[in-house]
Amino acid sequence: MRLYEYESKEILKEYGLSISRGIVISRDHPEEIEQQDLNPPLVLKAQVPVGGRGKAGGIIKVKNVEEAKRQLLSLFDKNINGYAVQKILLEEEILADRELYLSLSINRQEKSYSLVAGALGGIDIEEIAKSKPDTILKLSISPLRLINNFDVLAISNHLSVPMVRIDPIVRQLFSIAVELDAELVELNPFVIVGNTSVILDAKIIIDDSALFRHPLLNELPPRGKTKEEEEAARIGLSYVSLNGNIGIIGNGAGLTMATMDLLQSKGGHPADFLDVGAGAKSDIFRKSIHLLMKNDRVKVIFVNIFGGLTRGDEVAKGIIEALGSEPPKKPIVVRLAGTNAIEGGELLRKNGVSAYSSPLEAAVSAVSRVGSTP
Amino acid sequence: MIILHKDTQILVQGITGREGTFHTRLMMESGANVVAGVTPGREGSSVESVPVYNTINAALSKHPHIKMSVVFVPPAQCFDAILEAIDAGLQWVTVITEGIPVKDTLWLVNYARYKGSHIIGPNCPGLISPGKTKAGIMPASAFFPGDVGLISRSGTLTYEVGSGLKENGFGVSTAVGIGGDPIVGTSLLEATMMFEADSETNTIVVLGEIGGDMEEELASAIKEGAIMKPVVAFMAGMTAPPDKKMGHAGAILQFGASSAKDKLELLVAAGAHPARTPWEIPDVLKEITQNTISLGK
Repeated sequence: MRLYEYESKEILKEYGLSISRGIVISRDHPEEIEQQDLNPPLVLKAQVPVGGRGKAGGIIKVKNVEEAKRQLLSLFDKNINGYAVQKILLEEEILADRELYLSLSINRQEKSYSLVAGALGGIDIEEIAKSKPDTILKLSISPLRLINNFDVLAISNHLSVPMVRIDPIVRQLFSIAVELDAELVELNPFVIVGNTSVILDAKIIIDDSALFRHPLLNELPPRGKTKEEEEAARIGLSYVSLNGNIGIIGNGAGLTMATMDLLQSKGGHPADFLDVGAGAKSDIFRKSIHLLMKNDRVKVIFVNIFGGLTRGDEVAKGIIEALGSEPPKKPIVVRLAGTNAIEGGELLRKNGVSAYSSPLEAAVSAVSRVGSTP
Repeated sequence: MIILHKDTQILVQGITGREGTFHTRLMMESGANVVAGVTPGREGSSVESVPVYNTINAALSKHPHIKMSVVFVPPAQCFDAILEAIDAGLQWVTVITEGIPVKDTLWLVNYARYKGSHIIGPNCPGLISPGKTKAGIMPASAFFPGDVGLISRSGTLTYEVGSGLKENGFGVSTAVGIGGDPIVGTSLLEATMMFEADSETNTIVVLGEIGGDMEEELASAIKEGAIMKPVVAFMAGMTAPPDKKMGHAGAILQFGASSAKDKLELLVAAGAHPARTPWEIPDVLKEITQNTISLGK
């Protein structure tokens, strides 16, 4: 779960790190800006769960409070890389000679933590890594030992920041990652002002699988999800919305992805990724069909199931239950293989639903029926 | 076959749970030599006539030749369970459980290496050597014995491909699911190297997907000549959007990472044979077999 900047900064503050002074203003209560006691110049920052907001107009610098008030409403009206702005962080602008970068993340290949320090902060780290790789220092740190003095010294030397300034930041990054199960803690940028280091922007991503042991974080509202995705999550489905018009239901992440790829290769356009998981019973299929039936973007439903633990007759039962006595509003094409596929196929055909054993024939059929009536 | 022999002694952690009990029965039906189970507090009982112990060390005192544990323990208790298996000195720990925090897996994978144990998974279906033995949850009916080594990051896709091979007259020496999490104990390359060394395996099929860079690592090894057996590769997620987790915690196309297309192209450039869909794999294998025969002439 990606935390918003203001949530990330609250955590940094709890861990004793310095952040710029600011207040959070929500969309429904723009009058909250009246409670501010900040010293101009100020900066308005849209809180969206996506990168590149600066380029998309999500950050506005203002000279005084009057200007902030004027800009506030127009920023709430903006769409930042596909996301409506629900909250705005109003902060004191901090000017410094040098902006620096520091992050801690989990390195999948090396199976370690990656501690990355950049002498040029405030810019996208991936771009800098390509254009000026010498400005970046990357340390691979085993989870068996975590952070040590010599690591901090390497960072201190690379960034030309005294140990006493950088040590607390580096160590707290590890504390946050370990104690809160963060996949990423990124400070971009932070600056050195006089005797203190101040973090100007931060991003924390918490491991979804670990939310069960962080009740406070687990209660935060979902973010970065479309309405369809939120609804599917409530039913307990693994769901991602896509732009096409063929609704997909599959079992297993790999097979469902392969189904998307197959449809695309036959000229179709997937409307979603919906993985019912292993051993799903009829009620899951019923709910999945309902979900796609009421989605206007979906013109055809394509169910692709290979039964291991999942049984073909359960798939068929669920689909038939979902249709009820009404004729289907959209064509449904089903491909069944594996456990009880023959029983399931017969049950479906008896109820007027097309069932195939070949995924290719089923995919071609689904693509050909986009735009046709059932 | 890799990892297990027909008679390798296996222990099941979480054997008294619903999944543990169900799959212990299926594993034994597939020939697995399950000699003990562990569930704290249930010592003295038995599941499918397999004796249950409170701890792994208690089980080892009666069955000193256990080589592998198969873990069906819920995510919150998994760290403890896997650590117990590593410290008891088990050579292999196959973790079926989905939803273990990445931090736990990260630590355990490093610790296992330090202690000389190997983790398979987590979030994996385990492995099967058809007709011989099985550790995990793969449906035995989807596989037929043969000389193809099958490696996958995804469960259902493994069954789908195993079944497609069977219909086309191919079989597998071993099929191994390495798991869909961001950090897994056994990488695609490590599994491939085991098949490369296995005398019963002649071709290797790799089912990769978006996320991470295990496929890139494998491509480099093929390019360097570390793998001489023919490799057939399929990559799931060609049409996956960026920054979305596609079912698996580890299947996410992150900025700066290779797409499924990039991964497949790298593997092909290194010398692997591409399959554009999982259903095309038997045809690709037929071509390889024919070419090998004609080269033999």
